[in-house]
Amino acid sequence: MKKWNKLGFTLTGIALLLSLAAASLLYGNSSVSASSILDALFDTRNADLTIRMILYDIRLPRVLAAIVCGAGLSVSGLLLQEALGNNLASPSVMGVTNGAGLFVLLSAILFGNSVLAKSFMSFIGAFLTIAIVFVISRYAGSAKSTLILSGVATSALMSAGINLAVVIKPDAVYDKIAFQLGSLANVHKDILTFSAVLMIIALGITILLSKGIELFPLGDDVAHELGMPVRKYRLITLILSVLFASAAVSVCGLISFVGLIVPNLVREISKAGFADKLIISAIWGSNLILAGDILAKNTMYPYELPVGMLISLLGAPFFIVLIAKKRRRG
Amino acid sequence: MVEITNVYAGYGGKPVISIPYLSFKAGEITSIIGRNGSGKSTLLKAIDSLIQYTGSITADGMEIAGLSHKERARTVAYLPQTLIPVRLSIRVLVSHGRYAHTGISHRLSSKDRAMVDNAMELADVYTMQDRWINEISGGEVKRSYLAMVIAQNSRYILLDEPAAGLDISHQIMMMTILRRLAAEGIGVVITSHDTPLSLTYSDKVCMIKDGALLAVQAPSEIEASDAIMRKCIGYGIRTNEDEAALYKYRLEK
Repeated sequence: MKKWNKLGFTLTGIALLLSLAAASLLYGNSSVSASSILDALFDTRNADLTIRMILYDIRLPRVLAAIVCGAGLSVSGLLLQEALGNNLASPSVMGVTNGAGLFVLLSAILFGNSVLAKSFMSFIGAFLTIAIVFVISRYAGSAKSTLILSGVATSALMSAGINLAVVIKPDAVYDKIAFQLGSLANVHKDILTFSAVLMIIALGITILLSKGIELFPLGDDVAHELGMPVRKYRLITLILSVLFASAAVSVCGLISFVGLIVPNLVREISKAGFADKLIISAIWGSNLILAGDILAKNTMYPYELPVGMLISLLGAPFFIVLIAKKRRRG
Repeated sequence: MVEITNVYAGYGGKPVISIPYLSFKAGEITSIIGRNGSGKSTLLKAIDSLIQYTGSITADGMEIAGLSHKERARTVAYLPQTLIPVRLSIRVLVSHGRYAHTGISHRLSSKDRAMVDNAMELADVYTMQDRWINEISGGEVKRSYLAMVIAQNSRYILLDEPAAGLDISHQIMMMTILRRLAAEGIGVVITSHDTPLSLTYSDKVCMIKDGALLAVQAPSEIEASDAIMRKCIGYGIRTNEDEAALYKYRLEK
């Protein structure tokens, strides 16, 4: 397979991101014309209140949420894959998204709509899940497949917890089906802002640590001999991964497979180093959710599908192909 | 000088090696020979603090386990036997050798880049520096990793079976490179199953059996104490009379 030049891959991604974002902003389910939206965008003061609300309270948060969630989940997957040396690892496969989701629900039950509580509990849930996965795989064996299976088992446990929470407290989230399948229909602006800020900080730290993270694929012995504190770096990388995933889940619910699909495609298509892969994954992850959201809004118009469901339809076969490919490579 | 004193090292609390005293000098090649499972690799891992041990291992008087990660990497470099064919270009891999010499941004200076170029030239991978490690042969992978270790510019280099898997010309080339590094004052320690090859190029041979040190001798002394070599690997060693022979020594039943 011919590999893309990383600059070409990045610029194409940015161009597509701008196009998809523009399409999402200009076209939606309401009968407002694209020109009215454009007018409201460039002349906010004189714009009609309804159009302003559609633009600034519905469409723009939705676009930003797609970008934040896509970037967050993709980067989370990339970090998990690098730290664990396993391309099958992703926040959904390892149960991180379900763990974060369960704790977002618990937060809603215990603390109501507190933004800080939701974000903090989301992180705690995600981190607790990855800790459980490590404890299980430590006892079950250190093989790479064991880690994934431990993740799948923990994910199922967390998913059961989510179902239980929804049954016990059906009003814990605004739209429980949308939350469980992942949706951008009800984005909370404060949570979005909090998550975006958190991710920008986490992205900065990740870029700072990128040269060290780049040593993981060489194996622990070589990374150690080169002077990298392997255990410390792995722990920090996992914490960052969990931070990205939990921030995304608190915004858009349980969108699966983005963290699996995007980093693997980026790895397959381009020959980029870790820092470049990080940026490219963030851009293309955003593209995947933006494109998915446009499809979700229009496939069964006037009804709207949860974007997570559409991405799962794409992600599940991708996961199977990846397993088959890994098996073929031995 | 690397000095190993009263060292017990192993895995899961079970000692594999027990060494009362052993030293490796800078500017020399020392070969560690012994059968499979004799503890050769364990010894190298203990020196690089990759496994827990009791006792003392120092490099130029400093306890290696007490050094910071980067200080340790600048003192001792270690290349395991199994190397991962990563999805990186050769140049990027070799550049990783400068990790312990760079600051928080790990940006390479012109001096770092010159050392990377020099290491690639020495390991004969310079002309293929843009090729990817996962797309080259096993021998080329080994030479690329060797270049990475050379770029690391440590005072001591530990190599686990460096010549294994290489064709004969690259085996000779590998040992010639190691001789050159030793001539520059670097202490080189290798493990090897190819006894004639390692004896030909080493200054000192360290014989190990079941984790215990049998003897440390210069290659020229080994023939005279043949029994120790036979105890170590099961075969004797003789000087090759044939001047056209590739190696100075040969094995004997």
